[in-house]
Amino acid sequence: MKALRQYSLIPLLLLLAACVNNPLKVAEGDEEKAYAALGIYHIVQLQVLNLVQDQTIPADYRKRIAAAENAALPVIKALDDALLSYLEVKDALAAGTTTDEKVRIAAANLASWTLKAQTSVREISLALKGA
Amino acid sequence: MITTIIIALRSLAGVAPLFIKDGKADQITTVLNLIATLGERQQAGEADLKALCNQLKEMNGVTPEVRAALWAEIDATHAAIQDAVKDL
Repeated sequence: MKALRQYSLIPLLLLLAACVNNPLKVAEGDEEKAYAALGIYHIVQLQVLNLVQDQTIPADYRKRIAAAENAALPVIKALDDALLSYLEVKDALAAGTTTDEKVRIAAANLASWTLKAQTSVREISLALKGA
Repeated sequence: MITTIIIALRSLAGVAPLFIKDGKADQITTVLNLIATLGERQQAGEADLKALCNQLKEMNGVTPEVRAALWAEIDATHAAIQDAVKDL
């Protein structure tokens, strides 16, 4: 329990780091924001990996954060699917084989999945807090 | 390293006293070790975020190569996480 309380400080530190360097604010346009969300997920994944490999941390806590990472992955894969669709439609527009309207729809879908991915990353942070 | 610890101490100013209020030397050592460890981890996360920010500043759209490279890392990290807990 003591170790759990101690490691609950990590999200706070992650949050502080994110305030200084927020890739989503740096990213321009829907596709870069989607890529930023994928990148942030990977950075959080690396923090989770660091913790699950630490034998001094209680097993149930390690299992819980690994489960949160596992649960988030389908959302991240859906975001990637939306990114691929957007890139394909954008290429088709450049080739003159589709319309602006289809690009707008793909961009809206991509933005929606980017938001869902952010929610999934927050859920991993909640698991890190031990909530 | 010392800077990291100081930053971590400032960040945790409202929380650390919970752990050291008993004033026992071993508890204080534990807390200092913990803060050092967390500081290192936070620094690693911050470095990754900075690298991602810099990459995004230089990007002009997402290429298939850069997307594939990121996914190779995501898949490998996911596998390592799940492998680490499979026998718990």
